[in-house]
Amino acid sequence: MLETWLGESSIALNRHADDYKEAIHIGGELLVNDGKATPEYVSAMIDAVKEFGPYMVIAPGIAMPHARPEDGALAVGLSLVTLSTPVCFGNPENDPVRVVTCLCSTDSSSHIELLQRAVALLGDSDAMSKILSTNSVDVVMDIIRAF
Amino acid sequence: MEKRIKITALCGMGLGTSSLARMAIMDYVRSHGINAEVTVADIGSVRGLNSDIIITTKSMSSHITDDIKQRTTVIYVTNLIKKDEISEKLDEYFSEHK
Repeated sequence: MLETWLGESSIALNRHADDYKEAIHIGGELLVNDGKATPEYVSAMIDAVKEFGPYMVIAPGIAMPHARPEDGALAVGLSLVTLSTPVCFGNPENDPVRVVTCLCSTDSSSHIELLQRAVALLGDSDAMSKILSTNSVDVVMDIIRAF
Repeated sequence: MEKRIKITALCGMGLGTSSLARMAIMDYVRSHGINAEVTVADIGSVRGLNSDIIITTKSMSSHITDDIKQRTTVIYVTNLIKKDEISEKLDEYFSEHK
């Protein structure tokens, strides 16, 4: 089911980012290319970190950048980026980050089913370590289909 | 009549991190048979909240002022993907507030 939202075009593996802004940019561009969000939404995700701090680093090594629906979300969407070198978002408990899942939703509830499935994947250490050790989108899609 | 406990999951936007926390809180109250109302809120509305418990991440702690801490129990979590942390902290709260 998770592949409903997270398809091949929503995934970028083993990318290099100099800092958290670049990492969010990579994930955000995937949402834009999929028609899920506007470029303004990508800037809003970065602004959110600046305004609220790195609260979206939701578990060790995993960040879920997002902004408000009215910041430019066009649909419910998720992208998945794995980083070749971890970056710091400024969250002392959960940094550094290697997995960035950018999220967008058109309101405050349409994304709940997606979130439930995404959390199931992100919380599965086996699945996540496989995803982090591959460059193959096919391998990752096989894993995603199980969630 | 049993009092309904109000729990609010709080984050910057009111839909991402707070929704994750809300999912874990809902699981907890259901499995423990607790009569609770679980809502989400963004940091901008924290002043107007009338909750018994606010659950949020440590990164938001600078936004939680003393007057809020005085009238509400604030619980900080760092991991929103594994439900254990929220469960443990709610266990602590409910054993202290029987």
